[in-house]
Amino acid sequence: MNMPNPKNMPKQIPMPMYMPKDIKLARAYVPNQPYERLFPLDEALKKGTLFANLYQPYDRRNQ
Amino acid sequence: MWIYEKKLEYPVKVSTCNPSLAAMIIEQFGGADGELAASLRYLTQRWAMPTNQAKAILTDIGTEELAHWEMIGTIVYQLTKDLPESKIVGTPFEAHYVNHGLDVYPHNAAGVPFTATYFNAKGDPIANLHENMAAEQKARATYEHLISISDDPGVIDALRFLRQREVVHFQRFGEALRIVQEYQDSKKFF
Repeated sequence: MNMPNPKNMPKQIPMPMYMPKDIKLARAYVPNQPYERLFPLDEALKKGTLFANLYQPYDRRNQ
Repeated sequence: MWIYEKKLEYPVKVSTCNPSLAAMIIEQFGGADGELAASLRYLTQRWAMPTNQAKAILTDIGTEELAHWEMIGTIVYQLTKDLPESKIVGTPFEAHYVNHGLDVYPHNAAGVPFTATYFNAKGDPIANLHENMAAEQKARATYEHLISISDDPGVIDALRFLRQREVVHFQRFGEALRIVQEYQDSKKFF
């Protein structure tokens, strides 16, 4: 198993703004979504989302 | 109060008759992780959500799931509607046909009728939101299985759309969870 080596880690881990400042144990967090990169409307309907950063298409196994 | 629009959320264009595929896709019509269970789960849980934003997220997504249920019903019906009985005999759809004919009925792919035991309202918004996030992941996984066994381009196109909506809803429930966590934390200090 690949464990992170503390020697290689930056002293301060940069925390993106979309996660809370004080993360608690035994809690689930989903990052807040940055409002950016919108698809054109016709493309958004086809893809199933307006948001490029939420678009996660499925690669079909049997293709 | 709801407003009905006489159209599908996303167009369904099925080009083949395929009773076997219909018998599989009906999983998302009346199965444990299907669209009806999703809709009733969220619409049932929303009253006791502690913030208006969380309530609104459950109302919006619960409503959209009904539109997805309508899409799934349309796919199942279009895959079977013009079939003579001779084309149904010997397919997995025949068990459905002897009980329901060409009506679309909420049971899962194994024929088990829909039941409210597929979801819960736990009296605890954190527990409820975790159930909802899990439900979105399980529905996404089901759609991936269905896409993998489908060969009708129109069906696959609609299933891809519905799968992507599960991804979006997971994000929204994650945001709702954060809203509720922060609300509950703030109550401890004021």
